[in-house]
Amino acid sequence: MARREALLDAWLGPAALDAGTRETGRQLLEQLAQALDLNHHGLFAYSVKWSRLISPGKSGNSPDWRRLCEKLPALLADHLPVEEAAEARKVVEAALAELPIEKPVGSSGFLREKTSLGRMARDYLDALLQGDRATASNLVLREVEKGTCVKEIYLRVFQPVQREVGRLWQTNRMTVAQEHFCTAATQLIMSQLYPRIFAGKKNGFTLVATGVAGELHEIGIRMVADFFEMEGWNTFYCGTNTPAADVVALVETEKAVLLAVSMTMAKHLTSMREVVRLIRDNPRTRDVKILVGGLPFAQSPDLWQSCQADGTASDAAGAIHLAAGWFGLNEAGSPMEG
Amino acid sequence: MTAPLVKNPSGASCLALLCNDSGVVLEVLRDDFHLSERARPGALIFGMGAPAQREELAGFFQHLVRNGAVAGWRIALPTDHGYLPLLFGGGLAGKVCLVLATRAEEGDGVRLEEELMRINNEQTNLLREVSHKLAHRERKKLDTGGDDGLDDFSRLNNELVNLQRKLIKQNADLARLNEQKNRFLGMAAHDLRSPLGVVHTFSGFLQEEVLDKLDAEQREFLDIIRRTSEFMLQLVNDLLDISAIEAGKLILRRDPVDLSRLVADNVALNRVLASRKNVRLTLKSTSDLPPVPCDSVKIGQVLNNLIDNAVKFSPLGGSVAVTLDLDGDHVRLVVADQGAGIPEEERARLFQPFGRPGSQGTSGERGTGLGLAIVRRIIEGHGGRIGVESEPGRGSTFFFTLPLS
Repeated sequence: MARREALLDAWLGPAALDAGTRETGRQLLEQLAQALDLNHHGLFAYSVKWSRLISPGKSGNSPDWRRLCEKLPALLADHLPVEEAAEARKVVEAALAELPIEKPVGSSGFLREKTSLGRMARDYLDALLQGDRATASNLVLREVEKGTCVKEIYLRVFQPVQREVGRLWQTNRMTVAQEHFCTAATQLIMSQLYPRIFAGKKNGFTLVATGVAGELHEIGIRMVADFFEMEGWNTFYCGTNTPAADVVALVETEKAVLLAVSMTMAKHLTSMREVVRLIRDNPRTRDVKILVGGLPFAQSPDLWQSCQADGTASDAAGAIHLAAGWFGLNEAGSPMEG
Repeated sequence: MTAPLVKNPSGASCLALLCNDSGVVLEVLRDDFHLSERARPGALIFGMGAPAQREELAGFFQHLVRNGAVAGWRIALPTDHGYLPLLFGGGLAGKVCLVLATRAEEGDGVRLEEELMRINNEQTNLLREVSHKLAHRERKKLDTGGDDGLDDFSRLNNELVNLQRKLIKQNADLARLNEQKNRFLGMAAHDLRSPLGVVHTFSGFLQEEVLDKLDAEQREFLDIIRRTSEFMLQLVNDLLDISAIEAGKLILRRDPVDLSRLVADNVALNRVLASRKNVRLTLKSTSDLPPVPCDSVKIGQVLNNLIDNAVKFSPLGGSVAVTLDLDGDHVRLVVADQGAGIPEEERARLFQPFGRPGSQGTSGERGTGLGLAIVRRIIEGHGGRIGVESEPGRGSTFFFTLPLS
């Protein structure tokens, strides 16, 4: 730890004194360590890209992380054992080769206010930011009463709002308490729509969804499960505390044809591989399709293959599309004729 | 102006600051040199110096963080009255640094260390408290793992939402199963009704036409066939009714009905049954009842069920009183018997399907267990209310109301 802090000082120079910049630097070194462990330079390249986008400096003078990364290879030799330094150099240089020189234009947020649902999403988030759960809930329920389908609310309100919440937190414009509140409130409001989700017709296909290793962020994978339910699938969501063996047992007893596993942090890759291994080792579940998702898979596009999964998707719509292809379903979730 | 947080027992002027380990000033504890423009919370401690002194301040601070304590650094700071030579020292507690400076001419390294010790002794508790609060505040923002308490709440919330998802899903599955059950029940009962009707009708023919050619035992067999098939037909009809009602298919054809007449007809019909048990069936009806909007067939079914039940559970020679009256903007019908009464624990489930298993009339009559469940749904379908008052040993009084408009 002390070694990493010393490396941070040497790497960032005076910029290390800005708390936000220092924290971003710390996270990047953490991602570098994970990329080394997993042998995936893509994880690190993605993190640098993201850091360039979110502009963490509170003073407004955010450093260009690509330029800072150019300094890293020379410093690594002074702070790491020889072999480790050589490997880390390779990861950093591979990431640099991927990153454009020009600093990207900052993200303007995930809420699009041109449509009525986009404006509603903005009002919804504003209400949550003021701690006004009742207004947020009423906005959603009124929209559903008007006839807007739940799927649209998921796609155009919950999903962009959650992404925006993540962005605001990352860019220090929201406290961790606000972030927890917004997520908890959205989960509760979603659950008010559950009676509508589960009342639909079924297509005979079963999905089991789970998150690995007690991860805190499970709203994403639950949304994926809800989407499958809305498409006519029978879905079982296990949460993130179910042991891998129990997940496999559920897949077997419910005769699920698809298992969706989410992982939000690359350090849980071992748990992810354990679930996949147990599915593949069981003769009654070995042909079950495995769909993986979560930030590390978005960061490193070929990571899913090294997990022996069948595919990855970055959101619920992508997951539905992939499953439709695997099981010959049309867009409405019904089996295609012929 | 608030009192300075740091007491200075020697009375010498000093500057006392709390910083985090990155050099950001967290709190100004004492500022006798009026450096507040430069040494304010949120600013970097290095900013107190002119460009020439910033490197010296950075060196001092780095030394402090690395070694945990430092004293005797002589650095001149710009003030409104020119450069002021100060002696800097400080200590590190957790992630919070206490930085102290006194006039260089007022002391030397030893004096500053003494000062530091004195202040430290007096302020240890304060520093601990402040550090704790600050560390907590800092962690909220910086610790990527998030605050423990919030994480626990979020985990709990996740589990509750998951549980809710599971419950709502199971509820939807049960509703779907119930619908399937009703559909199956409807089909099965419908298919049973025709052959049962044949058995019942033909056994009736036999009773009428060849009874004198049969011996006593054969006549009893025929009687059993007739009575059993009649009961089964009633059961099938009730099953069809309840499954249709539960599937939301209770169709009511509401017309203005002369309820007095409907009740009188029903009482007359049931008098035949009552006379077999020597039960007296009386009717008291108001004469000025306006037409009641209701489904005459379904309300006839309700009346028949309630009166038939009252006779069934009445002792031989007892009496059943039927009363029809106005009750505000409702009409109220009451059927009171002198039977054994219904215990409280059974009353609660009385209007549920099969809510009173194994009950038999005073002459061994059997019920299908569905009659009162059907009756309740019909009355509630009309916007009325049904209920019972009963005490074991003192008979039962069933009543229902129907709205007049």
